Parts: sequence; C-alpha cells; structure tokens
Amino acid sequence: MNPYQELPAHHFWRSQISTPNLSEIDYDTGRKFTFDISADNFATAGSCFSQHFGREVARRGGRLVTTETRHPLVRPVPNDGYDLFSARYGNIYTTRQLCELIDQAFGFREPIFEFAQRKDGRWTDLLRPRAVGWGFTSFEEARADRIYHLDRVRAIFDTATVFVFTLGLTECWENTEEGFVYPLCPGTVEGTFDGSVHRFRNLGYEECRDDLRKFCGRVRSVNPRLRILLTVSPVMLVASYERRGALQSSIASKSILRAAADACCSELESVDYFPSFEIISGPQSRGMFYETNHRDVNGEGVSLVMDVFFRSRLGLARSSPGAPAAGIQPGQRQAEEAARIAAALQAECDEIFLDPGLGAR
Amino acid sequence: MGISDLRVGLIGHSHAVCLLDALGDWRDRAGLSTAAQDQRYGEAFRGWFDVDTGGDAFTLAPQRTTFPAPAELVTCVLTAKVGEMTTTRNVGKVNEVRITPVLEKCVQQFRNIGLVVSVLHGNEAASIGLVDNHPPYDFAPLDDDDALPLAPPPFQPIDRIYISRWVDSFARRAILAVTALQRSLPSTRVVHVLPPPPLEDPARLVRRELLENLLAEHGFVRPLLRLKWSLAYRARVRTALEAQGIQVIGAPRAALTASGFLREDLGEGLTHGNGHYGAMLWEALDGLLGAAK
Repeated sequence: MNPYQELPAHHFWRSQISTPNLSEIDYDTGRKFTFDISADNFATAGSCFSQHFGREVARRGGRLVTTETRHPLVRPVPNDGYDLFSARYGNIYTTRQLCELIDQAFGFREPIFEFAQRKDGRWTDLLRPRAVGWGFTSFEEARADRIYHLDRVRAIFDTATVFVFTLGLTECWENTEEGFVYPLCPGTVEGTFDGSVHRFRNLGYEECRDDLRKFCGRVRSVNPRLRILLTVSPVMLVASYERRGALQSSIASKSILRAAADACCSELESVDYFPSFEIISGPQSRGMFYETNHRDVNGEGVSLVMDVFFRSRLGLARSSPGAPAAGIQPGQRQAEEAARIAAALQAECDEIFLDPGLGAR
Repeated sequence: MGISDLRVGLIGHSHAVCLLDALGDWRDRAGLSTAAQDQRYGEAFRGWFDVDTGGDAFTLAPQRTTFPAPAELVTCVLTAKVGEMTTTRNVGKVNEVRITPVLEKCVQQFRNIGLVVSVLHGNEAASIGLVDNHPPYDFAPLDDDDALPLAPPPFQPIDRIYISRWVDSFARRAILAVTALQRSLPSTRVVHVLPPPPLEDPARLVRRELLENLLAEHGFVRPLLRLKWSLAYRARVRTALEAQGIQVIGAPRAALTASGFLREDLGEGLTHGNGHYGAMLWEALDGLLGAAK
C-alpha cells in the first residue's frame, strides 16, 4: 500500500494522457469551481490569447461584461479596440500592467497620462497604443478618454462574477521617472524610445506572484463574489531583450507565470487556473496546435481550448456538435471555424510590433 | 448705401420666417394665412407643412420699421413641402451638384437684384442637438473653446474626428445650396444667415414641434452639448462658405446670453428666432453693407 494507489486515474500520466483522442483528455482536473453560463457575468483581460475567451463566451450565449463600448455616434473602424475585452484596454501582457491599471482605476494612484504625438498630428495613448489605433485629435481628448477608460475599468467589477486573465509576458519596459510599465516598448508602435527614461524589466516570480496577489486583493475588496480564473498564454515571445534566445526566454517567462498562477491558486480560494497553456504546449499535442512558425497557436488549438473550457467549466458540449472531435488531427475540425479563429489571432496580437522583420506598420 | 436703399432678394427655409416677421404681415402673400395651424408649432409656422410655396416669389415693400429694412424685398420662402435645392450624383470619382427646378425658379426671380440674403436650411443639426437619445457623451469644441471643456465620466468623450463627420453631413445641404445659389447668380452678392444658437432651457416650451414624441421619450440634450453641436454646425457652414467668398452672418452678440445661448425673449419654438430677432438680423445685414463701404 502506498499513497498513490488510491489516487484517481487522472493523477497518472499514462491514464490521463494516453488516449488516441486529444479532445477526450480531462485536462482540467483539480478545478476549484465551475461556472453557470446563464448566471455568471464574464469579464476578460490579458494577452491576445484571452480575446478568445470573451468572444467564445458571447458566441455560446454567455453574458460578457462589456463596460466600454463603441458609442453609436462613432463609426466602426478596424482596430478601434472595442469588442475585444471587457474594456478598451487592449492586450495586457504583464501582471504589472494589470496592477497599474487597476491601481489607476480604483484611485490607488493618479491616472497615467502618457501620450505621444504622431507624425500626422494625432495623439496616442502609449498605455494602449493599439487599442486606440486611431489615436486622438488632441491631448485634451486623449486625457479625457483615459479618464473615461479608467472609469469603465472600474465598472467591470460592479457586475462581473468571473474575471478571466491570461498571463502573457514577464518582459516589459518601464518608465523609470514615473514608475509604470508599457504594454509595448516605446518606439515600436508609437512614441520615442529614450534610453535615459525607458528601461527593460523582466519580472521575476515573486514580482508576478505579488502583482497577482495585489490585483486579487484590490478587486475582491470591491467585489467579494468575484472569482478569478488565471490562464497562461501558450503563445511564445515574438522577441526577447534578455541576453538569450527567444525560445529560452519564452520558456522562462511561461514558467514564471505558471508558477505565479499556481502560487495564487494555492493561496487564494477565489482564484483558479485553467490549463490552456498545457493543452496547447504539452508534449501530448506534439506541437500540432502551433502554426508553422512554432509560436502562434492555430485555430485547431484555440478550438480545443475553448471546447475544454466550456465542457469542463460550463458543462457545455463542444461548439459544433456535429463536427469531428476537436484537435486530433489538423484538418479534421471544420475549416471555417479554424480559419475564423486563426484570422482573429493574426489580427490582434500586437506584440508582433517588437519584431521589425515581420513587416508591422 | 444701406440696406434700406436696396431692392433685396430673400430665399430661405424656416429660419427666414423671423426676418419676414420683423417686417410685418407677409403670410397673405405667401398663401399661408388661411392655412390651418399645426398645433405642434406656434402661429409663426401656420401652414408650414400644408402649403407648397413652390419657389414662387412675392414682393414686400416694408414701411415704418424701427430698424434698417430693405426698400423692397423679393422673397422666395420655402416651406416644408418644397423639395431639395440641389441634387448630387457621382460622375466617375466626382460628385456633380445640380440645382433643382425650384432653386432655378427662385434664381430667375432674383435676376437684376444686387443683394440676395440666403437663410437656406439650418436645422440639420437640431435633432441631434435636442433629443437625448444616445448614451451619455461629450466632445471637445471643434474650435478648442476653453469655455466648453469635456465633461467627465459618465460622459463618453467622442473624438472630434467622428464629430466632424457628423457635422459635415449636417452642413452639407446648406453649403451646397448656398454655393449653388451664388454660382447661379455670379454677379449678385449673396449673404448667408446662419441659424440662431439654441435656447438654454427649451424644456420650458410647451410646443415640441416635430420632436414631440422623441423628446417625451428621451428628454433634452444637456445645454452645453446642445451648444457645442450648434457651434460646430454653424462654424462648419461659415468656414465652407467664406472660403468661397460668400459672406456669412450669425446671431448678433446682443441676441445672446452670457453663455452664448439665444436669449429666451428672442426665440420662436425650439430652434427659431422670432420677429425681434429678425429685426436684429436686418440691422446686422445693414451693418455688413456699411462695413463693406
């Protein structure tokens, strides 16, 4: 007799993973809580991968908290930052960025007005340069919109019962004078890089964990019934500023983020983890859910993650009941669905701007 | 030479009524006096929705006014039944603008007149500026007027790039019509009169005109936002017309409150000026002629 003998089958690699059908694996064992599609209000934030959570929640009839919407007087334009997340913050890659946003929204620090004037005379908010791609006519309008945005971020927590946050990166650039981090290095999309002000920062495990703790404490203090679901983005880094390759940095970053998420889940009852990272990047998938660049997740992978999420957490069948099982072999899933998701992935991952060789704007 | 020495042409939609009311009775001549009064409007717009004046001109010879008035006024008043002044169609990549038969008819009646006063259109931004049927919003004044700052949340700031498009769409009809008028009368001086600014508190008005149901459902846009829409519309029309050498006059300063709204005693209904306001406009027109001397 030993302690392992009594464990359920999924505790053993052979029995959890050894199935010919990847979609039949119970990836999400050990979950703390499930959700109710008709009662829960889902809010989303994080890296580009997290956009799918919101999109799919809405598509499958769930209630998505959206507090910052395109005003009826505003004509839709591509990349205007609406309909991606619960508010118009664009991708939030790091735990530090999330914390600083929440601190501003709830008045723990003054709003950060970090704007840059473009060559066309319009102004960009460097804390969400891609989310508000059109920018603003004037500094005054940029400032007013940021204040409005922070108000809308605060409003998310009035109604959300679930906050899904996808952790993306540990590497970031900070403004050493004002003490905040940017979503993208100044100078890559907008703004000007100033080596005397802008400094590279790679958040360590303790920093990420403490950021998450702080975030959870802040938002739970205003909304005690809020549950937080952490995921780690399986999308690898476009570029690393560390003295090592992008592969090593990707694995280091994801490991740190995964460990920080694990620590918070262990400590905090209201925090849980969903294994999208493991579903995509685990050896059982043999890399089949990555695009040919081995970095981006393909539509098959996103579909499988979403199917697992909805099945495990919401008790819902996969999105296309008549379709073949998710993600077993590329090409098996409906091509339309995969193409739709792949197109979305391609369009909205703005970290791509770090690599000048990829032909960004 | 002042305006009282001149034979003047007047062409306009509803905002021309105040200029005519300043001069005395004119509705007989326009065929409006016997029409039924639309109860949504005041007496000033009797018959406005029933009678098609069709571009037919009538002549007034104002007498005994306390302000400078034209010696003779050839008037084309365009009621709600009268159609558009211009049409546009795409020719290749160019919008071709043509005047309609009704404007052509008016133009023919203004031959040999040295000054034509246009009060064409002017209410295109009235609905958006009056009916509060959108989520709370605000925008920065198009002229960067510091006196009209952006409101804080819950008002969503809308960038001027979007507001400008709306304003352009509202102003387009007036700009095209007045431009077409001037080009049809190349040797005539055309002066365009802008609509008055809004009232600060139109909620006091009993008659809600065509917007009665919408206002009952949504209420009024807050005053400063109403003023911003009006300012933006008027500035857009003024800029476009002045760029073509057409003179434009707006509300005289004495007609405004300290905040820039139309004085309550000078208003007629939700958006128009009354005869007293019209008299102030005639004075302003006379002043414009004097300044040009």
